[in-house]
Parts: sequence; C-alpha cells; structure tokens
Amino acid sequence: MDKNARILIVDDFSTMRRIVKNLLADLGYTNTQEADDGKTAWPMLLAGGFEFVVTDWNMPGMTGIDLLKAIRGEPKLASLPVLMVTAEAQRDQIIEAAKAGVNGYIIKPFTAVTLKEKLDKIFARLAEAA
Amino acid sequence: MNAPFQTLPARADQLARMRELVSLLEAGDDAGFEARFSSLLQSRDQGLFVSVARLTRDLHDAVRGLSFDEQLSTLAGREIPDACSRLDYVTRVTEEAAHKTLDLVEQCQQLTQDIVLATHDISAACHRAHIYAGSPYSLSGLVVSVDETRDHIVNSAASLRDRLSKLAQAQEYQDLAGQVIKKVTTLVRSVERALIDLLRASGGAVASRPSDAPANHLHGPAVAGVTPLAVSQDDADSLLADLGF
Repeated sequence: MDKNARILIVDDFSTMRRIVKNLLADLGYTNTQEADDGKTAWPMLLAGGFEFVVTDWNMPGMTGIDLLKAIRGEPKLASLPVLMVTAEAQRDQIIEAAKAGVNGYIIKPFTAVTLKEKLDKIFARLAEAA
Repeated sequence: MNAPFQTLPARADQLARMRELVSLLEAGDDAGFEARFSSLLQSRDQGLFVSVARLTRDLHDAVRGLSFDEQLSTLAGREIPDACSRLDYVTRVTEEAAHKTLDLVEQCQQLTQDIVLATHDISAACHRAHIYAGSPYSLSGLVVSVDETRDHIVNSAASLRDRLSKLAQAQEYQDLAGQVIKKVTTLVRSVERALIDLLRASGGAVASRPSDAPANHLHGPAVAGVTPLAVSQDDADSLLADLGF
C-alpha cells in the first residue's frame, strides 16, 4: 500500500489510538486520522478518502463489529480493508468478525512485529486480488 | 398469618350499604349517593393499604432479623459509589501516565535522530580531513566543527538520559493504580460474600458459578486464569487460516 494512504484509527482509548498511530508512523504510514468510536468514524468514512481502517471492537456508541458490518453493507465502502485490533479473544468472536468480512484480527496486547505482519499479509492479498 | 383485608366490610354490612345506595338513587339524592359511594371505595382501598403496609413491615423485620440491612446499605450507599470513583481514578492516572510516556518516547525518537545526524557531520568532517590534509587553516576549521558536533552529541545524550529517567518515573502510576484496584476487588468480594449469605439465609440455592453473561456482553481483555476460553494470537491466526483468511 502507498505509504501516503489515508488510514482511520478507531478506538475509544486515546492512548491506544496514539500507540497504533506511532506504530504505523514507524512503518512509514503517517497519513492517519482518529475516531473514538464507530459513530464518529462512520461519517468520516462516508465522506470518503480513506484507504484503510484499524478498529477496536468494544467501544461505546457503535462497536467495531457494527462498524465493520456497516462498511461491508455500504456499496461505496464495501471493499475497504479493515483490521480489527481488540482485546476480545473468544473463538466465537473471531469467527463472527471473519464472517462479517474482517481482513485481519489482532489481539491486544500486541507487538509492532504482529502489526507489520498483518498489514503485509493484508496488502499482499489485496495486491493478489487486484 | 393475619387474615387478609380484615377492614373490608362484612357481607351483611356490604348488602346494607348497597341497599342504601339504591334507595339514595331512587330518591334522586345524587349528592348523597356520591358521598356514600366514595366512602365505600375508600374503605376498600384502605384495606389494601393496610395489607401492603403489613407486608412491607414484615419484609423489613425479616431483613433486620438477618442483620444484613446495615451491611448492605453501607455497601450500596457508600462503598460501591466510592469504588466506582476509585476505578475512575485508575482510568485517569493510567491515561495520564500513558500519554506522558508516549510524549517522552516521541522526544527520545527525535533525540536519536539528532544523534544520527551528528554522526553524519563527523563522517563529513573526517572526509574533509583526508582531502585537506596538510593545510593548517582547513584543519583548524575542522577541529571547531568536530568540537561542535561532539558538544551536540553530549547534549543529546544528556537529554536522552533525562527523558529516560522521567520515563521510568512515569511508571509510578502502576503502584498507585494497583493499590486502588486491590481495594476495589476486596470490596467486590465482600459484596459477593454478603449476597451469597443472604441467598443462603433466605433458602435460595447458590449456583457454584455465576450465571452466564448476557448475549451482548463483551469479554474484554483476557486475564490469565480467569478467562479460560480466550485464544492467543497464534490460535486466532490458525482459526482465520481455517476460515480461508
């Protein structure tokens, strides 16, 4: 993916948003924006211009899984890649996210290496599909 | 047990009242009818109130008899709100500490960048030293340049050391937050004990484990030994691979 791609980071904890933002910056992705839950993220996504979404699951207002379902249900956003970064670590939840069309799933706490691996894998698959 | 609704009028009394109402109606005494009819309804309501009041008193006496009321009211009225405030405090101090740490990390990243740039200056100076070897004028310029670079590196190292010390100090929140969390978990356990005692005393069976969480309940961070069904990142990866990801 182009290092200048616009990425939306969605998490209700400002510290986690900042950590993800820093890790992405270390990987060369500096064009990031933040939203504190799905409800805030949704109009930003509808306004267009984002090429990637990193979202938490458990957030007040609108959860990450609902945001993912909304993205897949909206024709102009349906193909937007979504990486879920969450403390939710139940088997059923991972299956639910996969069924909803998530592109990658990272369990918190996570390392920079894991984030890089998942991003590389998602972009490789997107390149293959293109 | 007390007979229910003792204050309700007896059957003969009711019949007499109904006859009186009919004769008032027949006589066209509307005001008299209204007054008697209201009085009949009031006597019925009063019986109900008396019964509710008796039930309330019995329940209160029962709870007092179990000597839980004071303990529970202290827990519900004072200690639980206090526990919530303590947890709010934990959230606040951990957030502040995380931001402080991240600020310092960003400053340190900039300092390491400065150090790398300074070493580039040294390399350039060494390169020029080779080219202008033998020229006293150029060499004195080089010495000044290397001295400046050395000072820059020493300053950056001192700044880096200072920020690393602050970084270590910022971890103090763990001690404070940990103490508060311990206090709250002690309280939660005492509430659990009080509720189980109450259930046992009232003859209710206590399940060995709390009932399942509601369907929309999220599990949150997995805690070792507490969240047995949580999977690791590797498990998640192989599960997703099985699903074709």
